[in-house]
Amino acid sequence: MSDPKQRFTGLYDEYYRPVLRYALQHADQDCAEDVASETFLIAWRRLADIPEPPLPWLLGVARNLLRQQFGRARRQRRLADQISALTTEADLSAWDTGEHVVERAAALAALGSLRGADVEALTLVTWLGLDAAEAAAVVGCSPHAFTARLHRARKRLTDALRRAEQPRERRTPQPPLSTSRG
Amino acid sequence: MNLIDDPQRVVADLRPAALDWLAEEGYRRHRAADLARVLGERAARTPHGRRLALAARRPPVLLGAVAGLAAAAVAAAVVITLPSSHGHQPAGTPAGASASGATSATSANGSQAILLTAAHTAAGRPAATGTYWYVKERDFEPTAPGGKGKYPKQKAKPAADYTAAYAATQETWTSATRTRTVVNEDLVFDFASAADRAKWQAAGSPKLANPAGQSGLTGPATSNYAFGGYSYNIGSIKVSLATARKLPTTPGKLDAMLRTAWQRLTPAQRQATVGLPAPTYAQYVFQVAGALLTGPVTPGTRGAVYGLLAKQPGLTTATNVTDPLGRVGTAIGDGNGDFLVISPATADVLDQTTYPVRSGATILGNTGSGTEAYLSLSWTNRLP
Repeated sequence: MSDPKQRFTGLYDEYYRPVLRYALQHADQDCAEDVASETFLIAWRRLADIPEPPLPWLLGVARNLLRQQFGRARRQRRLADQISALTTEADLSAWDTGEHVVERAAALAALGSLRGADVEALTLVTWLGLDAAEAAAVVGCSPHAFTARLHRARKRLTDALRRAEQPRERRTPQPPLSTSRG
Repeated sequence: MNLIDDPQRVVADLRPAALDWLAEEGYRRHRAADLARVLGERAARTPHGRRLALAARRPPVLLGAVAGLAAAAVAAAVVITLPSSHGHQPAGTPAGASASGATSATSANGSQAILLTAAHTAAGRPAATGTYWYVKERDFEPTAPGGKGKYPKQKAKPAADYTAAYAATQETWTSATRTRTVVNEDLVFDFASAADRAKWQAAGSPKLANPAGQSGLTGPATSNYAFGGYSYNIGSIKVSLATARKLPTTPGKLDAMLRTAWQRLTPAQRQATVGLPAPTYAQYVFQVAGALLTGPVTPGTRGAVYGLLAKQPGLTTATNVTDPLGRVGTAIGDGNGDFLVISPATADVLDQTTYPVRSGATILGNTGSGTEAYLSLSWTNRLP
């Protein structure tokens, strides 16, 4: 048995950042940092119960903290809004207009048009690098159900991107972030 | 490739780079404080170090995780701790009683008889099963002014010159795959005396911490988790809802299992597990007994626990003890300030407490001691 303090410190050092990144997807910086810290407070108190790999468990706790907090206050930011808030010039310039069919803003609008569960499925896999079983553990469903959810989310995003692409020739250029939905 | 054919690539490319540096910045700013807060909370949370040891052996269910509020709530369940102030005299300690041992009117032989009777009673209780292990308890805990804001950076500090306590009910339903908790029900604050209340008022009536942390929430808070919440480690043996039903049902076999676990613990692990410096095997048994007797084990195992306790030296008993809910039971003490109060009729655990119990005493819920009074330790198939 490893020393609990050492184990906890190791968990903190390895996973604080991904937990905070996850929280930042849904909340402003101050609140996200509080949620991350609270997540690790719970982790310390549940240290013996944290499974391997720990990240899905930690994200599940953070997710619940966010849901409970914002469920009451209804102030949880939509992901599209949060992306807009965090986007910098570097992100805008990194968007390869030659490669991408749609403008970045249109892509963001397409993503923002999806249901929250769809966006969550896509970002857990794409941004946090979880596999279906890990992501399923975060959201509390079976891996099979999550895979189906992810498939539907991909399909809906593809459809939304196609809708964004079609009028592209007729549109006038838009400010990069003006189409994000709130 | 047309990116519309790869929507996940689109999502990946929409990811703001700021997430990385914000996370890095947050990590650097919070690491020292978070580690200090977490690893140092044992000393800061309560003036009674043994209280934490008592709490450590409870079934580690995950309690209310409403943001910022999981804090104090979860603490009561799963802190693994070292003693910070062993022998501390809690406020409200009756004259003549010490925090480190009960005044027991029962002889060693009498204690053994009480425990053997409890073993017989417990083993004869009907077996039950269900989908959810349901625990309902009324907690009486010392408290102190908390911080401000949603997520206080500091835990509550023990009040310097007055003794305050809260009482709150919490419920936990635990299955193999789900956990629901409701904390902070019927929250009430109280003070050890009118003088304590007056001092608190003179200090400006600062807001006191409660099971919902210092979030400002004073009503019940419900949390649902997509994972099972019961787990208790006996050394390297992980007791889950399923394996709890397979634990030994004779004192001898239970003794063999615990001795093996005990022998494999390092001195530091023994200290952390029991919450005492250089604990004895008997104290370890008492520690594990508290968890098993309040856990989802079979009547046979409960009987074995009492039978094993009857063989341990140094335990005390006190009779006609009234708990904060007015129930009368028999207290079993480890000789170091921890007590289990059990019903003589059913051998069910009524309370776990650090109140300095004596025969004929009433356990007060408004002192510096902590008490968990169990209203239900049972199986159910229904999640309300």
